[in-house]
Amino acid sequence: MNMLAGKWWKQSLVGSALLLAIVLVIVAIVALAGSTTDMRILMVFLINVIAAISLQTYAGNSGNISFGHVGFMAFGAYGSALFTADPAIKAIGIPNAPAFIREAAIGFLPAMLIGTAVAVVVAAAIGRVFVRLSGAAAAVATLGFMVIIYTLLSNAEELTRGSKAFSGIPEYTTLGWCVALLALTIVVARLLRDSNTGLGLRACADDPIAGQAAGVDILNSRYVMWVASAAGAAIAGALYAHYIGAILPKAFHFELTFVLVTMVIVGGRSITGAVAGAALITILAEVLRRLENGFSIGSINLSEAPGLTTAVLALLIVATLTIRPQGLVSRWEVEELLHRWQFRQKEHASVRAEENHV
Amino acid sequence: MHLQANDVVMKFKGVTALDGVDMELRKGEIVGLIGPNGSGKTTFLNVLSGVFTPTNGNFRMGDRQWSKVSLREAARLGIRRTFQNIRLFPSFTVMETVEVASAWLDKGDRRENAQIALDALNFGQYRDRIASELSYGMQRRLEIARAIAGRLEFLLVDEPTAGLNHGESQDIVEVLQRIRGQRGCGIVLIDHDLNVIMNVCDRVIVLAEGKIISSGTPQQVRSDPKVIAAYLGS
Repeated sequence: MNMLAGKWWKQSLVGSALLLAIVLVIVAIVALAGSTTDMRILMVFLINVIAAISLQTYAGNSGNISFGHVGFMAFGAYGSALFTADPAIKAIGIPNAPAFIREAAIGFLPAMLIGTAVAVVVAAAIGRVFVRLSGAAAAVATLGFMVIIYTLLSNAEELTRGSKAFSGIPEYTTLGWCVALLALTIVVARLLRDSNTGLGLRACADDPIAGQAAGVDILNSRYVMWVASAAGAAIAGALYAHYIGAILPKAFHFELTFVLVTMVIVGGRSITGAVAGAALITILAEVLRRLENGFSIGSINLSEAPGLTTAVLALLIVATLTIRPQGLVSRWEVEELLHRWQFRQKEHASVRAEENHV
Repeated sequence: MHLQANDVVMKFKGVTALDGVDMELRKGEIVGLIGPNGSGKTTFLNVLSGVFTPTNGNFRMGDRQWSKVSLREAARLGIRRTFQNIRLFPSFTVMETVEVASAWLDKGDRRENAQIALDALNFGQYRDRIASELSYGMQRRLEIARAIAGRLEFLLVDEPTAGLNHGESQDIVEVLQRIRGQRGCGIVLIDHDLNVIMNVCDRVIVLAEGKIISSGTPQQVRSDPKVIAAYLGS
């Protein structure tokens, strides 16, 4: 059976189910056999995957990298945290915040929706400017956006406690929430990617002139992906805030941006690539973080290696862009990879048959 | 339905590429656009398809009239094109390449519609191949397949046989004739191979230095002294 024939949305759903099944296998193995530390890494991985897929929804489809999506994560994190934290804690931490925030103590889901709505409104408001840019200009503009959001959060002391940590956030983020929201993110991201809008935008990422000559509305398509990806990033931000329990503007700055961008570049231009990149980088970052506390190789003993994680991730980006610029899985989704493997096998078989015949 | 270009002027920083071109294109007709290098052939196609906005002039098709149109709007009007330097989507498969046009310029199931366009160019067994990995001739054909998917009133084909051998060129000619027959569209064909132009075109228009210097049947144009002079430089 040709998996890639038939309606496009059926393929999207099959692909989503396959990808989710792979993630669920990892979740099951860690949940059943892993330690508490492994569970913590798993949770971070799942949140990272949602963030990476969200970034990929814009970057992978449009071909424009964004350094600004951590800004949307911050909206989700602060939006959700502000409406769920204990009013007694807020009375001490942010006594000058508006009463409707200070006295609010709503549930996780409505608070997350508020944070996501804020991110969507901001993305929609500024998106028209960003979608007109391409290449380096687009990347630098999103970097500017990230810095602006960081500066705003650091100075909005009445709401965020400025550069100090905003703590007392209820730890609502469970494995169930992560898996459910990851499933939702994968399905929505796949449907968006494979929709007419996503297909057209990916075509324009390859060749904007040819794409528009085939009827693609490049600006509106970018805009749809920009806003949708902001929503996904905000969800990841909310999950992060309610997992860690305390957030500060620095958490949504260069370091997180660097990690997310590395995941997307190393993984490739697809949703599957974002998952693969997130898995690889999460594990690598965890291993490197342990090594930062000191390690020994043979007779060489290193008591401390600060910055090792960032340095290795930077090297990984350079290596990827040099050796395999298309990333681990290139532009392919999991079911497409399977289909292509089958296709190649058939081709090889027919070549062998011809050779035998000769 | 006719597509009419009226007094089209295109200037690039003082260089006049098109100098008051009037042209009428009819559906069901294959028109050859020829002329020496730099005569304005590709510029005319670029203006007609919305790549460039003309400095002056306007276009009319049916009851629509415009002086400025984007590439996308031109495509939506059914003015479709291929490019002198092949422009595919390098990471896309053959099927996806055509699906883009089906998705944006056609109604109904985009994959079924793309398959119809691919079948018209005998691409059946290549649908899962990566576009950039196809042979040069196949890439030219794929551009045509993409250009005929969805609404098609006029097909603008820029140097479709460039770099192809005789057999492949003949194949392209047959494809264009078949598309005209099946879809009833008008075709504007630019080609340096005058044999192709003379064999396939109902009418030939000759440009030189941005102006039309001759038009008529291939036989009329072939014997026009102005055309001979433009090509031979005498």
